[in-house]
Amino acid sequence: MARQGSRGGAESKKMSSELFTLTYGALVTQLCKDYENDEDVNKQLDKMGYNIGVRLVEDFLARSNVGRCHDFRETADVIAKVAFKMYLGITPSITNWSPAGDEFSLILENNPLVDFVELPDSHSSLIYSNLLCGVLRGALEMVQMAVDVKFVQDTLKGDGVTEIRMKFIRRIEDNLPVGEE
Amino acid sequence: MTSTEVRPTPSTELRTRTTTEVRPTKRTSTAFPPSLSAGPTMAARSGERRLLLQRLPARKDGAAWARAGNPVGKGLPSGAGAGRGVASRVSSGGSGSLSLLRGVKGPRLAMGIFSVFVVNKAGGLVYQLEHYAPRAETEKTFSFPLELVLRPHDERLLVAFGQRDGIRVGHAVLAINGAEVSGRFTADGKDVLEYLANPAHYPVSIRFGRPRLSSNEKLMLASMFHSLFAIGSQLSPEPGSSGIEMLETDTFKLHCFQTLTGIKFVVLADPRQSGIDALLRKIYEIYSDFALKNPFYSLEMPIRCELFDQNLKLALEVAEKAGPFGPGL
Amino acid sequence: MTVHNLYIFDRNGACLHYSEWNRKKQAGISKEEEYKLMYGMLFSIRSFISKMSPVDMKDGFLSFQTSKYKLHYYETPTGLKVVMNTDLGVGNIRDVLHQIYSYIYVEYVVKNPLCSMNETIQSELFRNKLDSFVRGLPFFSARAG
Repeated sequence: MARQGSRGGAESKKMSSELFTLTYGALVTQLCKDYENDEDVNKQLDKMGYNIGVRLVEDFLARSNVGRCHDFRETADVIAKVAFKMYLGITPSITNWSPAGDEFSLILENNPLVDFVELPDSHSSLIYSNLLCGVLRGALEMVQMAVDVKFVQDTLKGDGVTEIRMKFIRRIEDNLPVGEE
Repeated sequence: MTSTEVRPTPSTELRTRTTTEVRPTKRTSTAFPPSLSAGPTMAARSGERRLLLQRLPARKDGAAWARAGNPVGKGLPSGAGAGRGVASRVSSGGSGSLSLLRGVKGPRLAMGIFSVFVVNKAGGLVYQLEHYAPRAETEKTFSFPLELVLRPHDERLLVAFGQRDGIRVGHAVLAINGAEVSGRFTADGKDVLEYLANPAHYPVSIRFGRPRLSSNEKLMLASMFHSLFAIGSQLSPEPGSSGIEMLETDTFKLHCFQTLTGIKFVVLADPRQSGIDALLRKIYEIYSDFALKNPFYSLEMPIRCELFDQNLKLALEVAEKAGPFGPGL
Repeated sequence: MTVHNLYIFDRNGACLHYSEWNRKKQAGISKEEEYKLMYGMLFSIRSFISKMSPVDMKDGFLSFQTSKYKLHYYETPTGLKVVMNTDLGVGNIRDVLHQIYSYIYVEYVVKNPLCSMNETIQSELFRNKLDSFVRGLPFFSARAG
């Protein structure tokens, strides 16, 4: 049927990853020109990522047939093994669980966003890949999970690996009427 | 069916909210509260209505809902709405059912018919029977910090997130260190959340399970279904539609038969159970034989008739045996 | 067999899309009120069955039927709700509702950056694709009249 065709087409689309990396680089540098300080750029990247995340999650659910997660460990697995694989072609490892099981780290061996990047000294507080944090936050918010996402290590800043720390804040009990809780 | 375990509801919130108090009676088969003699006051009933309205969707829908809503308390004889008391009878399934259980293959233990509700034309629950209630309860010992997110909901503490080891999202905290909790408070009156936040109380053993319906909730659910039934008819894209006759979920099917006089018989059954339509007619027959024809039964009131009970249970067992739950499956 | 109508609601209860094919009776209230009533009913059904279910649920509410029509329900983890009313002859169409979500909504609304995700869908392309998808369903038949 024609409708299946359209989906198949979307999946088989290929794009040069270098073009993607360059596009992202151009975007970040333009933001650096447009904004005075790095904090504002970080904020913009996070905001843009968030807007991508709230849409991307629908595509993810439509394609992967993954159901709702009822445990943060399950969420971590889906993010690392399915979502990162699907959209960035990498599978980060999951480590450093907090004792309460509400915090973990994603370790990215190689971050495709930073392939050709050298961070100049003048931008020492720029979180170059902060877009990813926004994407994760936006996507999880749409499946009723409020999370805090941030980079704690970055190869661009001389760390050995890139580490994204995710902290579960709460379930968003939306579509409950006001006063229900 | 063996004698039924009548379990006093430990929750106190019930009593503060409404006077429809549930008191387990000595009689094993009909365990209705003496709601007729006690006679819930108008205030109590309006309290229940408020309870229902809170549960409705966003406030802005209030107008639409009120129109289709439950007419209890509007121009009814003062007794009509009073027939809404039902005992919370937590039956643990009879021994007669166990033989059937053995015939069931598959991962999920399932019995054919879960429960029966009879709703009067005003939306009041006049009869309720728990025929078979699967009980999945899990007890686990935890060390600090607790790897679960708990959330207070409707005077209970539910698991909001962190499903593991048979503890599922939506399960309620039932007991702590073997002592039953009463809603959100421990047996000795401490707030469960505060108790669990204190590392000194660990290791702690917590029992979880699906929250049991309180009698108040059953009343509320019955009148809620009454409204849903009406809205289902109003939203029909075809003329001349009835209300909801069958509602399907992945764990049960609800079958509803409304008589021409407006009484609703509702049966909750396993999705694979067949022959429910015939059963509903049979229940109607039993109702007219053993409730209506009983001169001491007042219309629209809770059904407290020994014979009705016995015959209904018999009909349920017959229906289960005829369904796809015999030894052959 | 036939398809009567289709509603798509977002997570907050806003009706993103409505279309009808063979609908003989209107609810007698404005469309806005009808959407609210429909969403309110679905919301209450969800709450109702989650309390009534004797065991833990996975998918939850699937469908209901009256003497004249059958309402099919599908909800994504993000809270998007697809509701299709058909006649009684139609069996389980969960797959079809999932396809409407994944092949039409995601493709033509989510991936269209100009389409806002929490207001009525204006995209003509989306409407056309949806219409031809539904008309192409094996159980769709435009009855005489």
